[in-house]
Amino acid sequence: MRKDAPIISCFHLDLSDPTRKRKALDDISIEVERGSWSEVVGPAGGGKTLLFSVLSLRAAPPRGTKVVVGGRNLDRLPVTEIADMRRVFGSACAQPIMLDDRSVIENLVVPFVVRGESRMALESTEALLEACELMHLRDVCVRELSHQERVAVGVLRALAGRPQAILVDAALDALEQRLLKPIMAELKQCHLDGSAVVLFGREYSENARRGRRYRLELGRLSEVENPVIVPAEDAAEAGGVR
Amino acid sequence: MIQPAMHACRKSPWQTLAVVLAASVSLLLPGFIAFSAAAARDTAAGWIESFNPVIYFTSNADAQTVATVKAEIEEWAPVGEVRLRKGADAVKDLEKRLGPERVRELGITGAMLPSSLVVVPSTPVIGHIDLVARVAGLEARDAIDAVGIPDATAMRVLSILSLLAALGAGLGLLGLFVHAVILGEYLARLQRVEQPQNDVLMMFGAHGRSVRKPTIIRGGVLGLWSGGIATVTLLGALALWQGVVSASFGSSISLVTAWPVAIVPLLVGSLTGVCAGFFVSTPSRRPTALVPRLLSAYGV
Repeated sequence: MRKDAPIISCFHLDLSDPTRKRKALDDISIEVERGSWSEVVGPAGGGKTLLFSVLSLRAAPPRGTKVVVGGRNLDRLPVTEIADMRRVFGSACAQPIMLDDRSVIENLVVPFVVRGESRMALESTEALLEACELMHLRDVCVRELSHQERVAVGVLRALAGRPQAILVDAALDALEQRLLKPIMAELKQCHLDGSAVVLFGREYSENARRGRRYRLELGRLSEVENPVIVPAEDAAEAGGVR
Repeated sequence: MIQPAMHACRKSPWQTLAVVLAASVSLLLPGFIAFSAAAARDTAAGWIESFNPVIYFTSNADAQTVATVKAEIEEWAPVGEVRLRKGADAVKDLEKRLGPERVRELGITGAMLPSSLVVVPSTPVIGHIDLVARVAGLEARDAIDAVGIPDATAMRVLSILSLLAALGAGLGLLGLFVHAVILGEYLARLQRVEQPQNDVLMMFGAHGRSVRKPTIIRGGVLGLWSGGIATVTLLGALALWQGVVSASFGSSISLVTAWPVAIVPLLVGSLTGVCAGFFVSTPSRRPTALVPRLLSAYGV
């Protein structure tokens, strides 16, 4: 991967939704620089999850879309190398897929195991749990977690091992302040350490001013210069979560 | 992989045992048919092949006629050798069978016996059957008194047994298909149970081959187990068969083609299991919850 190229770029992402008879994503092009902070907000059904899936390499992009990771065009890469590309990403969504019969710590070490960094896995994940004040969940089976805790662990797993890019889809929207605050602090720390952070949600976070802000509505993406940012405390009082 | 490949099978041992037994039965039934046909054919073929057709000439057939017929038969494809047996040689053969004293008692001499041709086939049973039919046709000639060939009923039985062996091979293919379906279904079910684990691994960059590997290993091991059960059963049946043959005929008969038939399920079972695992773990057949509905609808 080239160090001077954006960590992820996507050009001309176009996807029609035959059931709604409209475009789910309309010619979207976006670039995420290394170490940058980006936020994409929009109403439900706007296409955030689809864009998240393509950018986090969970789904192959539709034909005609060009996705470039670290300067390498995915069109021209064999499947095994695309899998290698996923190792530089950490991603989390509002309904995280977890190993339900395993403990929290076992779930958190999975990214390390896959990346072949098992040696430092335990210390790093314990430090992460400690930093997010969730150490008491260390040995709890994931099946026994509340929804909020499950989502929080999903986001922590995306941060595990400080990947080069962290993408979070709607997960932060669902978190209550008690859990959100330390996780946002940890995200900010990852960003300061050089990871690119891309958040997808309903509202901009307090950190939105750090980087680029986009609005995705009816499949169309537009960059927002001066967003309205609701302070976290106010949002919590108003029933919002961020 | 986070867990060993066989962990999923160990979690439901009774189900695994039932699948292995069902898979072994699917290998066993055609194996039994093929094995029985091969064993019976072996016995019959051994008897027929040891019987070389003989052409007896009339007493007034001259040496020129005998030489012409010998040259003609030597040209036939399934013939390895044609031996001319004069009267004196025929007496020696007779002495071997009946004993010299009995031949002397009967007063048989070389001059009394006509010349004959002993035909040694060069091909196995199927070619042998054709040869016997052609030799039988020679009896119509004036110079030929009689032909010594295996009994027609024995030949017919051999043909039927050959047909049964072919049918067994056909059923073997069907059995293999059933075996692959049984194992494939079970492997697919285990894969569905492991879907979240596979999704998590893929999400963080695991290669497709490392996600596929446990299913392929499982297929190979389950196939090997089912093939092992089928082989042990067939070998037991084979030993029993040989025991029965020995007790009935008082001699041990070498069942040359039957032994490989008994071992085939072991090799073929594991190979089919690996193929079934390979097939069900292809990305298009592997369930995943990673792709959103709209993207999965597009098959991307």
